[in-house]
Parts: sequence; structure tokens; C-alpha cells
Amino acid sequence: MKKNRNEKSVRVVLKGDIFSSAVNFFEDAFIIIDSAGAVFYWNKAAQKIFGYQRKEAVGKKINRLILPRRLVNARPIETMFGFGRVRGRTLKNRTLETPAIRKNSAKEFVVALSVSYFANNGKRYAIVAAKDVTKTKELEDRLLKTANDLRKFEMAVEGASDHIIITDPDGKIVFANKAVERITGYSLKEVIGKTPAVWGKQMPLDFYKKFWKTIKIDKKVFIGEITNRRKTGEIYTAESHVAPIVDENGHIVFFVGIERDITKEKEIDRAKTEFVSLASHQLKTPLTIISWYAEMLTNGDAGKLTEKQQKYLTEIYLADRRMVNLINALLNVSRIDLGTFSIESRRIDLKKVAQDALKELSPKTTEKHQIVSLSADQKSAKINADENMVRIIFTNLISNAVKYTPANGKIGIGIKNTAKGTAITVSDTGCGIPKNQQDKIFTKLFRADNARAVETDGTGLGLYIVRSILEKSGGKIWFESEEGKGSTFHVSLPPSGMRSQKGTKGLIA
Amino acid sequence: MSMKMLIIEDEEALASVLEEKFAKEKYEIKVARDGESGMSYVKSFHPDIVLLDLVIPKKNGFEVLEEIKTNKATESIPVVVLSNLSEDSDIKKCLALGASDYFAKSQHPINEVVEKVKGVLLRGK
Repeated sequence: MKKNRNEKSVRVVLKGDIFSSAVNFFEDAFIIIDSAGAVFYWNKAAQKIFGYQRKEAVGKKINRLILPRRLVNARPIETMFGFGRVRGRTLKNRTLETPAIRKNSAKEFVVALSVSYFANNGKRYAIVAAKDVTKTKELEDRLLKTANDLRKFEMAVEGASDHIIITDPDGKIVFANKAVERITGYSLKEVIGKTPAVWGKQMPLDFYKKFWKTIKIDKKVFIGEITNRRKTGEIYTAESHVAPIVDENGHIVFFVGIERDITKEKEIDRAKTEFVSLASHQLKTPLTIISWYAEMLTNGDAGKLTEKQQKYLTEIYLADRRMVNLINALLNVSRIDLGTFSIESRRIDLKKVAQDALKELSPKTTEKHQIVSLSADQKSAKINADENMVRIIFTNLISNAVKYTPANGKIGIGIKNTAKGTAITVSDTGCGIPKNQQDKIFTKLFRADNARAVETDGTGLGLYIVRSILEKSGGKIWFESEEGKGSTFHVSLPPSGMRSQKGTKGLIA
Repeated sequence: MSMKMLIIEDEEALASVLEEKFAKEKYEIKVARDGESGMSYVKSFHPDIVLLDLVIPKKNGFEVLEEIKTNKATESIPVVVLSNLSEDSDIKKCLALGASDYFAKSQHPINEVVEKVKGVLLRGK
């Protein structure tokens, strides 16, 4: 009975008060509970946040109303609101954050609770103001994560082994990592606020003009090799990537430049190229001796030979030729794999190169009674290309056709100009490429099973070399083939012809 | 009078094939096994044509070629380079220095070499 009276008197205090009506306009939930945790007052905002009508809430334990089920037992009223531990002392206001739920929902959100206490008629009550802080909380978490991520990025950039700089749109350096000091030899103090000319300025003016045009006007990433100079005066080669970073309006905010010192790699590549060239030269001298002497013997320079002797010598001679071709192919492959070969494009006559290649193969085609046709209109045959490479392309494609086409078969070569550029086709009525091996045909050292059966002489390098040349020079190669019926290889070059490339050595035709 | 040919080639086996082949063509032949003796033959033997290898001792073929072609007395002697250095850059360098022709030895049968060298002399006449 006594309890009831007490409650009434509190209600009266609240009801008649201006304070009471104001509470209903609060955006925050405003809840009053007694020391047992039972809800005594529940404003409109509380209804909005937790989903319960005042009628439903009043008299219920607050922890059962607002906490997720998993926390109800773990957070009894005494611990949450502290009534239990205090006897006769003034309770201190407290704030706490807790996960919460709405009526009929399991979706949790975070509320911040501010709790203050008052007493009435010897009974203690708590005023609980609750605010949904899920969004604030999420924002906080996100900011914290962003800060952590940023710190990680900063550490990664700072400690990266490649030289990384950030410049303003005028090229003035605003950030440089430690590798910049290590590679250029200049301290950060010496480079911040300056331009990369501190260690650059070693390339021809034209290079820098193109460089700035690419990143500033075209707003594209620049990738290239660049010569720089360390503080000590030592020249070094770097692989440089410079990217413009643009805002949503397309204005450049800053540039990011990454450089890797590749001086050592370049030296090793050069040494490898030199070694392979030298080795191939040394190998060719004895091979020349073998072929010239075999030739002298077959010519009868040392007297007449029997038929058998002739035959044996021819085998020696042909094996020697194979060896020379193999050395040339390996030499080319080593240059392709090192990426050190040069492409020198200039105006050439495709038809003439094709005719030369055909002429060289004519003993074979005559022997096999193959019907060879070459169609090209004179105009379209003149394009910009590296003559040696075009010779390699024709020689490989046509010699494959001759090799894998039986006697009396047909071989056709076509050169045509279309709007898309130059199209070359080499077709034959030969053994074709088995379907299940077609995807491997351009792989280094690969030879199709039926090709091995038809002809033992073959390196498996020809098509690999041809495709590598075309890939590097801006062209394409593909084919159609049916086993037992024949193959057609298509080569296309863009209207501008082959793209030139600087390198240490060309390829051997 | 027969044509005088100087063969500068350090590989004896190759030099003797060339010597034998061109002797049959009635050339009067001298063989030098290095660049220095090659140069002294150029001056004393007064060849009508020089067959020149590039990788040779004492003075390399490029140097010999340059010396022949920069001396007023010898610049008109046709020089045919016979080498297994078959790089485009080597060929261009030799032609720029004044070589009449360039053959990668391993790529050509000896009979073809003989015919081509004879062709160079005919062109020169």
C-alpha cells in the first residue's frame, strides 16, 4: 500500500509540472525507473526509439524492454543503474553505452544512456535519457578505421623499396619517401619544394616535353625508362611510372611518381645479350667449316664420290644447316625473352620480302610439286615495318606451310590492305593442327603431335618468335585450322605499320 | 695479269677453303691471319680485292676496314666482309665504313660466296 502511494505522488509531481509536458517534446528518450528497474515514466521519444507505447512500457523492467535478449541476464538492473550498491549515499550521475533493440525486432543499435537519480518519499528513482547513437558510433568506427588504414598506407609508402613522390600540379615535390633519399642520395630537405629535376634533367628536352604532355594535357599515366643522376654524379636508369590524380572536375590535384632503380638489371641484361651473341658467333665458326668442307666434297673438289658418299655428306650438310638455324632461333628467343631486341620500322615492300622468302624455299616446293601462289596489289604491299622481322614472319609461316603440306598440295600467300591496316594470310592444304593442341601452338618449344610425325626437323620456336615480334610491334596473329585439311594463318598490322622499339640488338633473319 | 686477292681470316680451315676456291678462279692470293699483317699486305701486296673477317687478333676487322677506307692510296680497294657476326648493327657499321658487301659465313654455301665476290669485282669494273 505504501509503495502505491509513493508512486502516485511522483506521478503527481511530474504531471502538473511544465517540465512534464516539455519532456514529451524531447528528441531523446526520457524514462524514469524505480530502484527495481520498473518503468515509471516513458516519453514519446522513448516510444519512437524502442517501439513500445507508454502503456506497454510502464511497470516493465527496463532491461527487458530495451536490451537484446542475450544481454538481459548479463546486465541486471543493479549493475546497469547502480541502485543495489548504494545505501543512503547520493548516487552519482553516470553515462553508459549499450546495444539495444526495438519491440519485435532483433536488429541491434547502440544507445547512449545518461542516468541521474532522485529520491521521493525515501524511494530512489533514476531518470534515464537515451539517445540512438548508432550513426555516431558507425561514423566513429569508420573514422578510426580510416585513420588506421591511412597510417598503414603511410607506413607502406614510407617504407616501400621503390622511390615514391607526390608533387603538386606544377611538379613541386610535396612528399617523398625514404627510398628517394636512398636512391637519389639527396635528403628529404633538399628535395621537398623542388621539382624532380634535382636528380633528373639527363634526358633530351623532347623526352620531357612528351612526358609533361602525357601526364598534364592528356592526363594519362606515363610509363617509361628514364636516366637520372644521383647526388654523387653517378648516372642510373629507372623505370618510371607517373600518374596524374584528378578530382571529379577533371582538374589535376597532384601527381604520384614511382621509380625503380633498374641499373643493375639493365647491366645484367646487356651482359646476357652480349654473351649469347658471342656464344652464337663462336658456335657458328665450326659449323661454317663443316658445311664448307662438306660442300667441297660433294662438289667433287677432292675427287669423284660414290652415290652413298654423296648421300652421307648431304646428311652432314643438312644437319649442319639445321644447327645454324637453331642457333639463330635460340639467339632470337633469348633477345625476345630479355626484351632487348630493337625494331626499326621503315618503308618496305612486303611483296618483295615474301617473294624472297619463297625463292629461298623454292627447292623444297619444287621437290614436293607444291602449287604456290602469291597475291598482292602493289600499292598495299608498301608499309612501315622492320624488314628483318617481316622476313622472319614470312619465312616461318611459309616454311611451316611447305613442311607440313604433302606433295602436290597448295600454298597461298595473300597481302591486302584494309581500312584496319595490312592483312597477310598464309594458307596451306597440309596436315592441320589438332583441335586439342591449337591453344598451345604459339608456346615456346611446342610442336603438335602430327607435326612431329610428319617432319622431325623443327624447333618449336618459329611461331613463338613470330607472335612475339607481332605483339611487340603492335600487330596480331591468329589462325584457322582443321586436322587433315589445312591451316590458314592471319597476320594483321595497324595502318601505321610496325611500332619501332629501341633495343640493344635486332633479330637475326 | 691475274687479280690479286687478300684474305684476312684467322681460322685456318676457312682461309684454306677460300684460298683453294679462288685459286681455281685464277686469283693470285695472299692470306693474313691477323689484322696487323693484313694491313701490311694491303700496303705491300696492293690487292685488287680484300676478303675480311671481323673477329681477328691484333687489329679487328672494323679497324682494318676503317684504315683501308680512310687512306687515299687504298680507299678504292673493294672490301668484302665475311663474318659470322650477323647482327644488323654490325652489317650497317661495315657498310657505313665503306665495305662493298657483307656475308654471314654460316648462312652461305661456299660456291655462293665465290660467285658473289666475283660479282663485286665485276660491278667495280
